[in-house]
Amino acid sequence: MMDAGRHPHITLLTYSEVEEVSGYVGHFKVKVRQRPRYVDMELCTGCGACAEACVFKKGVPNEYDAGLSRRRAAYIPLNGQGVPMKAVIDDQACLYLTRGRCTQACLEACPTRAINFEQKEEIVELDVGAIIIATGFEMFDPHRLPAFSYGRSPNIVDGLQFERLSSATGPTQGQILTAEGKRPERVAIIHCVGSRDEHANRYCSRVCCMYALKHAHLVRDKTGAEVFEFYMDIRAFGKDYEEFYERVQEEGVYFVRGRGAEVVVLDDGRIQVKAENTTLGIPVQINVDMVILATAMEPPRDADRVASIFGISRSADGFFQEAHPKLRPFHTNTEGIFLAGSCQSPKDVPDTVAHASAAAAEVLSLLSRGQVVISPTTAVVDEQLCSGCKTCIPLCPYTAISFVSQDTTGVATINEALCKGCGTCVAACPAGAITARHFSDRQILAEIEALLR
Amino acid sequence: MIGELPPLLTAEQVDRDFIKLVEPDWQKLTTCFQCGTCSASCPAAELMDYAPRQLWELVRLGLREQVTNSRTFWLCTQCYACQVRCPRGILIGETMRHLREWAVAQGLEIPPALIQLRDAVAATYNILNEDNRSRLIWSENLEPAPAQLRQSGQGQAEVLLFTGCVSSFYPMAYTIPQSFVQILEQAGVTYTTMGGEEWCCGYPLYGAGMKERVGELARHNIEQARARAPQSLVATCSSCYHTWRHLYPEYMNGQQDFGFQILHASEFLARLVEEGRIRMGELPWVVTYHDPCDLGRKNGVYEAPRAVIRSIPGMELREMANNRENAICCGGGGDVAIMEADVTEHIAERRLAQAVATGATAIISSCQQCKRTLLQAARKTKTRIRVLDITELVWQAMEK
Repeated sequence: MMDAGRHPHITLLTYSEVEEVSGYVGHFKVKVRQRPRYVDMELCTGCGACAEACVFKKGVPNEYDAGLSRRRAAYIPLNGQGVPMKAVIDDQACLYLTRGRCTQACLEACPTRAINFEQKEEIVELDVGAIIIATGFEMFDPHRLPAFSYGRSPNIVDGLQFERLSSATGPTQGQILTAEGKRPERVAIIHCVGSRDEHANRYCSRVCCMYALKHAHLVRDKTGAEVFEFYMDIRAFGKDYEEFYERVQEEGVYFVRGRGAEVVVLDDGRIQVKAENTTLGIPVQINVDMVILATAMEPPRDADRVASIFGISRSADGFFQEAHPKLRPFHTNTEGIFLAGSCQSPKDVPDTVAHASAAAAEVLSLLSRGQVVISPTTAVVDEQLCSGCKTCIPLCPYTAISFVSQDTTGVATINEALCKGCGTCVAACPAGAITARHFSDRQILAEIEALLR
Repeated sequence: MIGELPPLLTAEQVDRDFIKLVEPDWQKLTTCFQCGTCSASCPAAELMDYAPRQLWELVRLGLREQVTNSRTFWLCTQCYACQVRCPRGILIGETMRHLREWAVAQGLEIPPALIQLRDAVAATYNILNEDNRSRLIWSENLEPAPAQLRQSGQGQAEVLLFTGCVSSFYPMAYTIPQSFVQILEQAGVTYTTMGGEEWCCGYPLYGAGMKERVGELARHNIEQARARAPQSLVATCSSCYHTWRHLYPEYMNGQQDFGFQILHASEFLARLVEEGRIRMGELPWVVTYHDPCDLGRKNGVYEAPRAVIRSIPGMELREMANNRENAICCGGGGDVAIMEADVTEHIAERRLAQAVATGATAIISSCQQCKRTLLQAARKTKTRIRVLDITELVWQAMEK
């Protein structure tokens, strides 16, 4: 990310959102809404003086620490490590921007006078040849499964919260501590929270087994605590993964083959995990100081909106749909729009890097050629027959049909760069004005006749 | 021992058709991935010969002898703790009940208590083999006398009270309908009952694997209730309520709705509170609330009874470690109380211990069966805690 920020040929539009996309491969027009960060990007040096001066001491939950710490209204994203390393003022939290009442200490504190409360939202229009969507994932919210008692004790954490607890830039500087500031003596890790579950997501989230094993290793390594790992199956499918599993077993983690069925917060504040040891067929009940829920990756909540902006589809699990599960896993059904990473399915780091690199390579080869090869099987409108009823326009899954006014009336016209020859419009046209090239009625009937002969 | 596992499992012992005989949705059951969530959630698992998870494997393999001789499905309290958690979405409580249905249909030896139950309902239309004309025995000697009760069946009432067998015939539970009608009198709500025309709702037979006997009872009750045309049918019993809501629609002879609302007493009381039709006096108690399985997990009614409790000035509600979806069964469901009283007792004592741990001086529930089992457990263990139904609590707290 740092490299991308420094690259002379890469422009980062941060704090921005795509609003609208039109056009087609090689000629996309993209409208981007750039939210005001109330900081002049040229002047800001990322020194953090504004964050220290911000009078909103209570602050808001720090999203980067998964809510385990708080930040003020002026801050440098990712605990000071964001790219670009520039300050931003959160207009949902800033006392001046929300209530109009603040001493504005940040203005004074900034040595380069970079803060500007007059900044307004901007719409940027871009002409691009190809698009890569890399909107990532969201963590499953364990509140949705009451059996895990998430939220009833601060020592029941999800996968991301534990990552922050064990990170050197996290709220405990990497020390694994309970909310009471103590080193845990016993920790439970529960697999498959929000995945492989009809009450949440049916799919296997793929990465949780390995990150849960990593968490077990970190707890053993940093605290020496006893670790009880509740699992149904360990899916260690990647290179060196099984070996890592074996190593964690050797490190003394106690693996319980049984799904964590219930987490109960006891009256003394300790936490009890219940399961069945299915290999022995006996109930297990273990009291621990900390529970780590290996939560699943989910499509972001606004995936539907993103899909409709880009005209792409989503698979049953909610992630973006690839053009072909085996042969075109980073393409979409819209020419020139590609997918990278966990917006397509849950992925770990090596898979994400491979997927994203492939998408980048595909874009580079597409753009360097300067031309695209399209299939000859596209639909065509006979303008003499088209009545201009517009039936076909909303039906086209590739938004390839537009309406062209002619004198008093108008006709439908098909963009051959976008048309995939699916035939939907051909079947729907009430006037019979649209034909699919190479699949005309005459050709199909001739084939049937040949078969019946 | 009968039903012990074979020393060696061979392909010849596997019978893939067996599962199709016992579970209509057998394809779903075959997706069990043996995670143990059901066994770990089951309040009776430790008393079963095979834990629920193991039973599914036996059914899947078709080890008929082991399934036939297992007590597991007879000990199921139909509490649905497993069912709401099963990650495969298998309707486990239903499968347990289907196994009972299969055992009954096969003419296998079934617990004698269920035969008595069946015969009692067939002869008297109530589970206790009492004269059904004495359904309103609980209302005798009530002070002040519930005036409306004497004119049952006259005119259209706001509420038709469906009392249920337990409250009608177990003296321990009389106070539930007594409290409820007194609340209604005080609040000026018009009400009526079906008197001796109220028949067992059928749920105990349904749970016993005798679903085919529910139809006659359902059709009679629906017809009788319709004839009285109330605005709402209110059940003080969570099981009757569940039966009306979820089983009776099957017996409507094609008609779309009952013509009245089905409410549980706790929902109706919450409405009275909200509409300001009853006023609560101060009652400075610390209480805990026990969610009945038939009301909570099976119908999602968690907040109405809590809202009623919170409306009482001075009252403090403390939640048990397991509450709402995670509540532990009282042990009294699934006809287990009449078949295996010690199993019910064992489970009830565990629930009681959770209630005691909150420091509450009273357990409030919304089910006459929960009240009975928890009260018995409290007496047996000499625990000083009151056990009250929500209706009793409200009548006690109400300004009169």
